[in-house]
Amino acid sequence: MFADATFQDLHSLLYIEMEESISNIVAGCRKGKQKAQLQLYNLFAKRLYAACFRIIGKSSEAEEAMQDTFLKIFGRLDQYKPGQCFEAWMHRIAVNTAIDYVRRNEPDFESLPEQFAPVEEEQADESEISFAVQQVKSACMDLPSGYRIILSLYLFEGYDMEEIASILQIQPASVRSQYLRAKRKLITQLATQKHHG
Amino acid sequence: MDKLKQYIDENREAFDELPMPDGHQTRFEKKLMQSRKHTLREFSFYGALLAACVALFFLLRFSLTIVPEDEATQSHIYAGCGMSQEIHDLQLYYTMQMNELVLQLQAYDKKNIPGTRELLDEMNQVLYDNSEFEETILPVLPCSDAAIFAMSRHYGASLESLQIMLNQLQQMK
Repeated sequence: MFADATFQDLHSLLYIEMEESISNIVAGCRKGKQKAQLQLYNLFAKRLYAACFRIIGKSSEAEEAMQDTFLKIFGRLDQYKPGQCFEAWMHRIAVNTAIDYVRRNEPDFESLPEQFAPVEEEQADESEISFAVQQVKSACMDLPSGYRIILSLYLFEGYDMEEIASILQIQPASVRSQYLRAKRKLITQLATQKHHG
Repeated sequence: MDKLKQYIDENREAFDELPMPDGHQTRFEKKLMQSRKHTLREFSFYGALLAACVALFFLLRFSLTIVPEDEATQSHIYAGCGMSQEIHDLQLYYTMQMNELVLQLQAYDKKNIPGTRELLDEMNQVLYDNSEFEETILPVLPCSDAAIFAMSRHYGASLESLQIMLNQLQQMK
């Protein structure tokens, strides 16, 4: 019990320290200090790169989108309101930048049609598949962009259906059907991989 | 229940393990430097534009409103103007301030800090704009407070541009 309390206290202390250090870095970035900008980059590049990579699916382009995200962050710090979660704010910019990147660089890219007929969840298929991290990662990368984006936003980036609707500017009702269709496509790919593997 | 989501949540760390491309940080530093230079260039451009507009405004305003009844009344700052001492002192004051900044900026030339060359080029552009101002605008400014105002705005903008460049170099250290 005592050990638990101590661990929690330590955790809270570290959290407060981390928040304070981020606030200091942000204050430095607001003043245009290059050292602070690089500190912020070093602190969050990995996480923002992962988000961009999962949406874009290509390493070099994901790096470019992630770095553009940081330049946007430095230029828009006046729009960040204290009290807002800074990481979530940055994350949202990264996601929007990556989606714009896909739209710009893939002339054939089309988001999924908005009015899909409701898709039944295929629990039977899903329960038959045993997942493996590497296989899921590579199956996601093989998906068409529209499917990959919606799966990334829901499964990895932690947005709910309402938030995804606002990011993709579609009706919340169609987000769920699009997600189910994208997931079915992923599971089919995983089943094919398993069959061939 | 979403089995796939559950699996991803349970193995979050493994899914987040994505190696960053080699050399990403160096590429970012370059990009950051370019974006700063771009901002600075924009700033010096708008500063110079503002100064030129102010000078042009006064030049046009007074050349259009002053009717030359007598050539002797049309005194410009270099033609026996009663304010020439004040104008000279003001010019001297700003020149000294700018020289001080220029010396500090030039000291960075030998330090081989990336981006210094470009900033020094911008500095030379500001100095060139100043000499243009002194050769073409200053001699035809009217002999009045308006000339003092135009000079203050022009030199003030130049001084501010140089100060920003110096701050940039100090941050690059």
